[in-house]
Amino acid sequence: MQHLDDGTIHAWLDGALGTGEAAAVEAHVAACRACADRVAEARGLIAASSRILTALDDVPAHVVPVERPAAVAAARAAAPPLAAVPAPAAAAPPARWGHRYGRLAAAVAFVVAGTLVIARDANRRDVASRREMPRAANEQRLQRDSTPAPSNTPAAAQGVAPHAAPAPLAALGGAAPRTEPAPAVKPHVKSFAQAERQQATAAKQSAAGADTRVLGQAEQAADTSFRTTTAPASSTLAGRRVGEGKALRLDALVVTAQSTSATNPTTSPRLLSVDSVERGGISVRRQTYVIEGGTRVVLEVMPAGAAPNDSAAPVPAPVPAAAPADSAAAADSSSAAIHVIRWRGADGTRYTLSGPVSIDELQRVRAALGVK
Amino acid sequence: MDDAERLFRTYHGMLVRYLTRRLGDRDWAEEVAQETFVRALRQDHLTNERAWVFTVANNLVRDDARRDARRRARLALLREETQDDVVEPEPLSLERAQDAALARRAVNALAERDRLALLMREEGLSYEDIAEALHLSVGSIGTTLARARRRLVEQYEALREPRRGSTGHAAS
Repeated sequence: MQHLDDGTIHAWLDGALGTGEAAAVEAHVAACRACADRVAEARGLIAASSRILTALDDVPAHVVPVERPAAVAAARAAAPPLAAVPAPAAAAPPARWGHRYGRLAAAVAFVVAGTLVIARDANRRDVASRREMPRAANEQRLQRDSTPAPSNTPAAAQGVAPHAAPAPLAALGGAAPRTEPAPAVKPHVKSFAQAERQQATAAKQSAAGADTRVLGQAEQAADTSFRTTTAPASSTLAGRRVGEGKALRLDALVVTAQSTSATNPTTSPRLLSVDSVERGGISVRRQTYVIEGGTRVVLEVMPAGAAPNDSAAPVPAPVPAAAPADSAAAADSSSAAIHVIRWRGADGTRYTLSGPVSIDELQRVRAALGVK
Repeated sequence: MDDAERLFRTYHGMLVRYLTRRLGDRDWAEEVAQETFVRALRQDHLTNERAWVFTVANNLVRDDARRDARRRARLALLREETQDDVVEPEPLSLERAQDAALARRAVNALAERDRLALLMREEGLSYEDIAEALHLSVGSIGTTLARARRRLVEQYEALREPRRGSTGHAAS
């Protein structure tokens, strides 16, 4: 057999060859040192290219898909079927701007956008006033607050004031050597140097609290801590987008409707990212949501058939391992404000929701997500 | 679960990621994905959903790029002019931002066909799906991917070298 060409090697490694051809390649690789070396190189290229492409996912954005089957189904039931919507002429370009339904959506959302902007402005004033408030006042607030964050650390002292920034932000604010308060009018603008310094601080904190962290990955915890400092950005930008007349998407409309619903006072969590993680050899779907205040919570979903038995918990964290269905557990309220709730769906699917918020808030998020 | 929901659940995540990686613009990626699904729902029957979805998305990107080149340039200008009013996007760490920039440059250095094949493969498309979406023969996909991966890694490493050199110099 001739030496293998690169295409065949990659196709073999990708599992794209038929059984016979794959067997022939395998036999050749076993016998040919040169081709075995090229296979090894190809493996390296595949792994390296995947890693490089993963870096492309670091794209900042504020409009993210919200995967809410129940809400989508409800909206679909209420709205005319897509087939009934008059389709643009075949030659017409896709209507991303100026489509009349887009304008209608923009009109509906404009009201909500205004609400968001107003709310945000109010929030800014709140933040500004809090920043000017002496720390002692914050600590007084802390004493009135029942948030289970530690009260003997600077992080907690700044972090758990009523309607305050999420805990990770507080952790940053408390630990970072900030010499002056950030300007309230532009709290989100940071230089790279600032960003890196803050993340380093967050990472340090994560390492210090590694034994109590629920999320399990230092990088994720640091990232969460850091990113939440820009919490109000999304609502503002969303508002701007709507104001610019950009066509609003169906799922965004669904969120809008739910967030203003009287029956659902919690701001609808926005799906930020979805990926898969390995939990004890089992692939678990991980969905990261941004909730009110910019805090991130993580929902891990283990399909019903994935867990071989009840002892296989999807989160390999210092949480009670064999948590019963529909249980709530604080990871370690004495030193970390990250909490976890777990439950099992009617179909046996296991859910784990965790984040730097209280159990009650997690339950509200769970309800808002519509995950039974 | 109806067809629309199943289609969305199955392909939305991978399609948005593919488009984001390809375009470097998640908002644009979302729009293209949305339009792709709208079109998919108008279809009575799709023989190969996965290939169809990616083919349509590719076509939409191509059409968008042609039509919106000027519009986007103008919007970018406007955005710069109003930068003071705009909330900055979530900042990445310096290292991650640099990695992302290098990866973007390395990916952009690939030939269009190689880039698309590689990005689709990363989303788990089979060689058959990729061949159908790119109108290539199945037999050529292995070669295409091998070339794309090698060039991507070489480009990336080449781009990283000056950075390493400057870092080392600064350290010394």
